Amino acid sequence: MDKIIAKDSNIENWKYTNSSQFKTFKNIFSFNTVEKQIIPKNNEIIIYNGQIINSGAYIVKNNIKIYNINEAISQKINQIQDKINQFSSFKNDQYIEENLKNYNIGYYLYFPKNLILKDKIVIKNIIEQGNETEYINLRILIDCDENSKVTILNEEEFLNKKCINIVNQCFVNNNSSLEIINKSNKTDTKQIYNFFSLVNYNSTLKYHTIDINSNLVKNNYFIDLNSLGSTCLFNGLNISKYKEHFDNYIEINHKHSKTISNLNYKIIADHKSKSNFFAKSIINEKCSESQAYQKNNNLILSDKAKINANPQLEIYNDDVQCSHGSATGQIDEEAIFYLRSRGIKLDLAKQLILNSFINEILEEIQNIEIQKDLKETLDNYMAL
Amino acid sequence: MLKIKNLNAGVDDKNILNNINLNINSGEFHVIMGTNGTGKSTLGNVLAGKDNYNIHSGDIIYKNKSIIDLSPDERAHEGIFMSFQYPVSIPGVNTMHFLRTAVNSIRKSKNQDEIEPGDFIKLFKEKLELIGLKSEFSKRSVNDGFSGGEKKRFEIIQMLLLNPDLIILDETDSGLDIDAIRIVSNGINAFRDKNKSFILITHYNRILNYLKPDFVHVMLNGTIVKSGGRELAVELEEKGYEWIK
Repeated sequence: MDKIIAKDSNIENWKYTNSSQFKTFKNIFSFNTVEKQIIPKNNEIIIYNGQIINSGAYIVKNNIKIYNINEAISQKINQIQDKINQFSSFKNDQYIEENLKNYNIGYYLYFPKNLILKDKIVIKNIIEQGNETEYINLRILIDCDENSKVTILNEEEFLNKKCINIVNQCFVNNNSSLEIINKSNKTDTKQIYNFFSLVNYNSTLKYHTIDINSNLVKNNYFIDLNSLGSTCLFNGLNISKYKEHFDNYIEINHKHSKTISNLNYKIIADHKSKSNFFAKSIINEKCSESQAYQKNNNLILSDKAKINANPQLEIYNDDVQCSHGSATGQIDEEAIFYLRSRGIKLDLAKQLILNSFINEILEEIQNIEIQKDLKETLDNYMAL
Repeated sequence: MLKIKNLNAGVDDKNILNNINLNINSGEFHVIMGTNGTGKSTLGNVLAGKDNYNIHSGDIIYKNKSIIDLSPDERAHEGIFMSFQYPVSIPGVNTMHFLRTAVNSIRKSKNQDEIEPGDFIKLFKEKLELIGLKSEFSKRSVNDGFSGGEKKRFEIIQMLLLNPDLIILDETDSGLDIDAIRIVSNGINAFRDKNKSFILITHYNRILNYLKPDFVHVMLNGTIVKSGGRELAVELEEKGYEWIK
């Protein structure tokens, strides 16, 4: 790729990030084959430098399938191409086009029909190779078949400096419920992430994303509520520090009547970091009795940190319930005084308030074990 | 216990408190009354150490030491407590977690061990019952969605648990119905002893029927213009403030 810009037709979701910041991206990175033995826990799938290493007994027992992306597409497993073709548009973005043409690693994860999982599935995606100038094009397909209920904890560990361009396409088929929790450690990573989801009849996608500890991140989420009863709960937290730059664009497209979206996004920005939140919920003409809610709260901890918040509703039907709100401010000094007047020291008082701000997002995650784990990770990160 | 000496204080360069002098001995209960905007709450905030108030001159001596350079948390460690007129909501901070953190912060300042969680829960529930609040209260966020009365009761629970020596009650009776005034007053009275001193800021005589103060002071334009006994409050209620002006 010699030119790295989003095409004009879709420039809106790149409003807050200058795509030239990704200019160091030039060639596609070639992975060296490295033998690695990592023993998975029962509910884990291990992916190391793009290779599927192993799956735990719980994965095998429940007939959950994971394929190399090339194998899945070339062998037309589960008629995957037909499903991919259902995406009406890939938003005409050069990064997406590049990924779809030249993906070099990735996987297809399939959850069979009528699978009700009590335990979460953990995907450990570890990438050690890579460098500052060559792209890794990672392509992911997640396919949750009919009448299934699944929770995925997606643990991405991208070590050392690297550039990564990810496209994740996710299908939530009829009468299914898919919950995805993203937990990542991507120190020094430059990332472009495009997530697409089709949520079908009477199905729910719950998407939780905790974005911390990166260098330059451009995330785009495109979620289509395709059928009667399609629901999306999007729950996000971004903590930016130092000179980090995060940009999150979330587009939820209501394409049928009686569809529901509920978006809650929070940002904490410290030091000289910059964090952007741009959400657009579109309720099309034929989507009566639909509901779309957007809530965004942000805290700025430093005079030099910046937050751009832009929640938008586009409504083309009168018979809908919608609301949106956004508030950005500093830590409430009155609350700090109140806590200090009870003997709580300044640092601890601030920590209590920040934890309360964060907890609202974490409490949306129903799996208590994951909630506790994330809480601990964030406590440690905030203490840095 | 507390000596306020020639205190001039306010916001930025502007004085709100003008030459306040007040002596409070251990075990005494003082009441400050006065018209709206006369500086009563400012005095409470200055004693509690709120950041955006400046002391222009004078001193506050508490337990024989000046406290004007102490932070709000350091003052709390020394035993100063203010029940707020408008307690702030802190969504997401659980009441019990907050109070256990506060109790342990004060214990730590006295080199005492942290209270065991089980012991604290028991203690907290005892105090809730004493002040007429249900145990479900422990699951709520600090002052979040509380009624006016619940907020004031929660302030008194904090006082009981933190066990301070100097208690400033800023309009604790406002927003309380007649039964709640009695319950809250009983809680305060049960807490009184010869080592604890109180400053109650109020507009009404009614709560004084329960609390039976030792001294009543009238504050106008940021200064104490008249002091007397319990009968002064009765007189004020009958005549208003005009006769003092």
